[in-house]
Amino acid sequence: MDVNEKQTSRREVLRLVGRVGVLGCLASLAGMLTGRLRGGCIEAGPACKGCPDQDGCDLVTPPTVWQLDPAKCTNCGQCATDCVLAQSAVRCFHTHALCGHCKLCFGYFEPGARVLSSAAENQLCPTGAIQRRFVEDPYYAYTIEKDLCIGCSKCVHGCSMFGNGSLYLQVDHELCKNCNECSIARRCPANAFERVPVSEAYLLKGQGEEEGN
Amino acid sequence: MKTRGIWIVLALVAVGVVILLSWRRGGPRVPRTYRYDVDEYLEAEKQVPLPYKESARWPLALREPRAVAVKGDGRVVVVGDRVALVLDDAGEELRRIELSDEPRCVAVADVVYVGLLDRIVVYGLDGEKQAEWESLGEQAYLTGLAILDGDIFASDYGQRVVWRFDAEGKMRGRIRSASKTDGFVFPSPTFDVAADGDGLWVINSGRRRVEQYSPEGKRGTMWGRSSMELDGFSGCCNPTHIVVMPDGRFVTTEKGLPRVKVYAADGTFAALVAGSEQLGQDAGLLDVAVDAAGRILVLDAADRSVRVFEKSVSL
Repeated sequence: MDVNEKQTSRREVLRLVGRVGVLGCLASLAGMLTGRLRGGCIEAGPACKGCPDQDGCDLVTPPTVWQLDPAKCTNCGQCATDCVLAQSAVRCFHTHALCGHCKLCFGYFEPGARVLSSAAENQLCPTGAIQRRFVEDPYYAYTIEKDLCIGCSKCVHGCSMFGNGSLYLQVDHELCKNCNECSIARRCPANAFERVPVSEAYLLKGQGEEEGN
Repeated sequence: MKTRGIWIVLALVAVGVVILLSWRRGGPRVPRTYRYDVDEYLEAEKQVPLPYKESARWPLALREPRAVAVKGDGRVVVVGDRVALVLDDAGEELRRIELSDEPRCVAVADVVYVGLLDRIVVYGLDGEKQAEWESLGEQAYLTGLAILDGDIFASDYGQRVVWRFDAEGKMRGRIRSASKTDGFVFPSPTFDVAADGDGLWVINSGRRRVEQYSPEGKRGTMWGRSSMELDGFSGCCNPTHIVVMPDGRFVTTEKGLPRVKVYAADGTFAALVAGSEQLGQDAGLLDVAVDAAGRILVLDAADRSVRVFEKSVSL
């Protein structure tokens, strides 16, 4: 074996390693992109229309949507920032039947608010999305202005920490694009997002008593 | 040479894209504006001395412990799930009493009074069921029991009254809200009652105060103020539980910012027994009892244990 043969062989090995590396990177890139574009499961669709075996068919799964389980949510605030929509599809919901209708509502007021008035500086919500209405002393009713809510969960945190937990987050299906791979779900630190059947699209507290706003 | 250059560029682009796509998988990037911030109050707790130290922790074989009470001889009764546990003063289980339903509250004298959702059941310390009193109705939601001069007082969150029974279970009266404009407010089921020589001490948690009542229901003095500061009660509905110490001072517990505190007999703040750091941010409702030696027994439902706090320095 002469010197030239040895040099050629080393170069070839390096070239091979380089090519394998590049191909590996490209393959993983392709995998990631495919994963983003491809759905997670086969769902019933228009093709199923008219099929006599639709009920009880095990070839397809029923259509599902993303939803947030309030029991798992840790109110981290990422729902406000991680949705692909400019204003997150996650919004605050309120189960009035669970609400204490407190004068000092910790979902409405900044902790330590000195005056219990609806002045902006006392309000916890960064967008003023909670409306406070006097009912009778000392009770107040709170409603969420969905258009203003950004799903930051600040009010949810205060309500669940100090109150009854009647405020909580849900994916609003009037807004959600139902991405195959939900951007928020992918990053949710509590794994609180799950696919639920369209027929049960909301995971509401106090089922049956919810008004949704 | 040209081919190699293309390969290198392609490799760099691919690596760059992979890194870029993976980049946002990291930790939270939530703006501070969206953060619910109580750090100031947690920090304040750390600045005060803690004259009580946790001297023991008694693990409980209960899934959901609900309430604790102490008998004069030091025996401790804890209720939860569908049982009442009788413990000795070191936390060793002496007896396990099976209950017919889920307990909500407990008081102990010569017998054990267990408050279910809508009625009181009486057991001997030997475990024998002695009586089951009549239901207080569909709206009843018992949350606290106290014994004063042989009568049993039961706070009922569902009906916003404190019921008064004699030892046989005969109803002798009820304590209603003292005033329409300044009466009981309970946004959540935090309605406890305690007793001492001065009468009954009833938590009016929605107004963040403690009110004194005569056994006949006449309201006397009251103390407590709404504040996030240590000397006040924070949240929508605090304190959640109360007990009177042998020397007449009070021990209260709070949710939200979990706190166990001692107040002087006149209601002025005396000491923080344990705060969020000791109890954990996720501590739920903390029932409390005090034994004859002045030890504070905190029922930590999240930890499924009774935590014993003893005075380490004089107050």
